[in-house]
Amino acid sequence: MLVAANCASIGAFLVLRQMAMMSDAISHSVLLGIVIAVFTVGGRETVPVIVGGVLAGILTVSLVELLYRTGKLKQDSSIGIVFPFLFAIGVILVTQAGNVHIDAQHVLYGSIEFVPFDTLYLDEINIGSKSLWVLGSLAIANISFIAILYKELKISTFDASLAVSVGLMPVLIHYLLMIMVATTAVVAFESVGAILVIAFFIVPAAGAYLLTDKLSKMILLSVSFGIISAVSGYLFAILVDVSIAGSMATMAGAVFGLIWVFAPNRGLISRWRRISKQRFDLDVVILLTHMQDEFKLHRKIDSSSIANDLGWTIEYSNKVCDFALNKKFVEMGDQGDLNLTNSGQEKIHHYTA
Amino acid sequence: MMELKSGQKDLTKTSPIEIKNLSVTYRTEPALWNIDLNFPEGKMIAIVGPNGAGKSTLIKAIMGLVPITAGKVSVYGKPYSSQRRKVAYVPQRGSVDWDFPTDALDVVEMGLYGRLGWLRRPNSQTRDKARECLAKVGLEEYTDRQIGQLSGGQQQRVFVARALAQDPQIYLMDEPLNGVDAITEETILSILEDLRKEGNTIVMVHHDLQTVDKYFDWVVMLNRNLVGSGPIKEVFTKDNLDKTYREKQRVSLG
Repeated sequence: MLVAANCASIGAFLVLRQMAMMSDAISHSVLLGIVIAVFTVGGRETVPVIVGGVLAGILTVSLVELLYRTGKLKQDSSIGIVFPFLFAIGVILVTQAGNVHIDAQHVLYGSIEFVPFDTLYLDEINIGSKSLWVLGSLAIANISFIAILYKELKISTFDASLAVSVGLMPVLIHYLLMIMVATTAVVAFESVGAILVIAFFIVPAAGAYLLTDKLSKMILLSVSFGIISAVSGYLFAILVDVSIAGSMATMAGAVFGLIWVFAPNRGLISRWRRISKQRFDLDVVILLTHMQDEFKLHRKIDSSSIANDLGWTIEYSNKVCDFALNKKFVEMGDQGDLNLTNSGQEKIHHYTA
Repeated sequence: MMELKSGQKDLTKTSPIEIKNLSVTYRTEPALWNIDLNFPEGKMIAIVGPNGAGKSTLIKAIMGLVPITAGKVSVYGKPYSSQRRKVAYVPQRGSVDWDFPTDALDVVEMGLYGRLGWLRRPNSQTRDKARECLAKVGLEEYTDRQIGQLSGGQQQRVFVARALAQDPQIYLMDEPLNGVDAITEETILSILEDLRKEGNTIVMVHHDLQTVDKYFDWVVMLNRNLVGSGPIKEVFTKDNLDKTYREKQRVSLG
């Protein structure tokens, strides 16, 4: 849950900066940093692991940008080159690590199930799950990062050139954000693993993006979706006895799917409705224009002649005519013939003007 | 030594923007070549030239948004970095993501972020100022409209309002009249005319050659090299137009 909230909060900025793949890259290549840190200190101490991960994360971002700027490569290709390379080195090192407690399975899929058993002792008093403490502090760090630098993050995400011209250094903000991504990825790594971290970074934020026009609301919604996915995923996993991390990520996908379909304004259904409404509106104007042309030739028209002339089915023609009658764009003559009204004329004018 | 005495008076009269030997290259491709240029104060200045002539690059180079290969730019006699508050930039409309979750008022308020500096938060004062500037461009009814739902002309006016909020002495604008409706063009020009009367300097990349002599009193003609710079009557000549627009053809043919 804390992982989800952590990832989702900064995820909002990743989505807006179109950096989804960059966060995927970082969350993979932190492995290299983690492994090297584990080798160096000989254990999984939190601080060195985070430092190693962050360094690897920064290395990833810098290498990607180096390739992107100096070669002819696009950003996605640069990412595709850099992170598998770093991740692969990490994997090689992991398989060499006979004496260190870290293995490939653990790395890829995480092991959230065992996290609570890794308890922390302060003066031999059990003060609770270690990862709870780590994640809690990270949550505070992430929240204060966003709260303190909200204005700077916003301006450099929306319009970096403005940020540069007024001296607010978007490059610095960019690297700070990447450091937070790497730190979060390292911490989330233990629980959900390299592959699923991205689901928590991007999916809740993308869902929130479809629901709101305000950045602050987007961040709050994103965090809520992250938490909802985590809780429901956890319950689901317990219920049917499957991987917790896996079902959390699946839930995140499901929540996004629901939003994508049902969101007001930007959802599939409302968009589909809007388009079909516009189509229908257009057909009404086509009908009115057709009537106008026919009147110039002094022909009488009714629903069936319209269907014939416009290539519509008689049912559809009736439907459009009924709508036009209802809206008083046309009126019915004595012999069942249709005539254009003034408001019908206006409607045509409004469309063609 | 005699120079020094009159120099004091001249200090207030330093050119808003002075460009010396400016060259900008993208990789090995020159975008601007050895430009020497002084912008006069209190004028409406058009930058014209064909596509790829370096018009946008010139104003970006002034603000250090693109790396300068050679040369020097000064704003009121000092480097841009110490004069940021005197300059506002209106980028091309296509340069930002209009789907960004924010409203018109918020975008205008961003113009004040530079003045606020690091870590200081926007407050009711900056809100009021932003609202005021939005009203100046005739968009007071659109304050909470998500920016993607504004028309192209309205979006451009939001950018102009943002520049107004910065309260600068120099406005650097990249094609603010490109693809806007008649109302927007009129609104923007009348605002700029008022600003000019107050002694501000307006530099605008402009694409419509028909309206250059109508709207501007100074023109910079650019074709990677500087073809000419000065009052419209002296510089905006057929001869110079031919040079500006034909040279480019020769380059692309060669």
